[in-house]
Amino acid sequence: MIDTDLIREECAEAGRIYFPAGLPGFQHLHSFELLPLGSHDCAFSALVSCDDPSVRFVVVSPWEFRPDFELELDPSVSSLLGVVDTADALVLCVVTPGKSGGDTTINLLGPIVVNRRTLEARQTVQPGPRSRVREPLGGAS
Amino acid sequence: MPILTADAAEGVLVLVLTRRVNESIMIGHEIVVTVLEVHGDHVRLGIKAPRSVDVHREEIFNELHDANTEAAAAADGQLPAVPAVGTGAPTLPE
Repeated sequence: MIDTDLIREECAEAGRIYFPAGLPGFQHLHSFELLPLGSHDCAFSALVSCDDPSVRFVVVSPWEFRPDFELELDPSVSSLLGVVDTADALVLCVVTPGKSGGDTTINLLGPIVVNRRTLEARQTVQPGPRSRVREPLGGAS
Repeated sequence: MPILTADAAEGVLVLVLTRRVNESIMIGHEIVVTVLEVHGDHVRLGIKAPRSVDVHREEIFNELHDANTEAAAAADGQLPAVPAVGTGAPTLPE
């Protein structure tokens, strides 16, 4: 059995985000670094795999583009993560950069929730239509 | 008795077994799936799994899987074209 607590502590010491279950499609990758993208005032970050640096995601806080976004956490997920209050959580949505800015989408169906204290994370599922998985970033919700 | 049937679409063997409400099945030695309630064609299941195992509805898992794969492929190139909403277009670190 994998000692998830030990790995998580090692990751947290190194400032890395630990996904015990990986992410759908990347179940084998558990440790990620959050790196700034572009200039210091850029809202976007890169979530880069420590095991395979060729795997990286552009991520952004959902509230950057959807101030009315509401995070709903399933009780089982919040207890797994130890996130009681939204203030305990760093919420990141995966962005799919398009060929042009207008094609860029944001995944509001499956925001990544990180426990700010332990740096343990999971990709969660939000209620609502499945189309939220590819919402135009610039467009109105 | 469990029955093994071939799933034609997947080309794999599927274990078929019958359970009543409040009965469970074990998957490996850590995952327990319990039938909680049956209401017409709705079945409520309780799933106990270790933290290292992600549990999703299949269609949702497929959505997230495809979206993540696409997002990683799109971020693997050069500069992503993200609308410059206040913050400017980001560049990817090398």
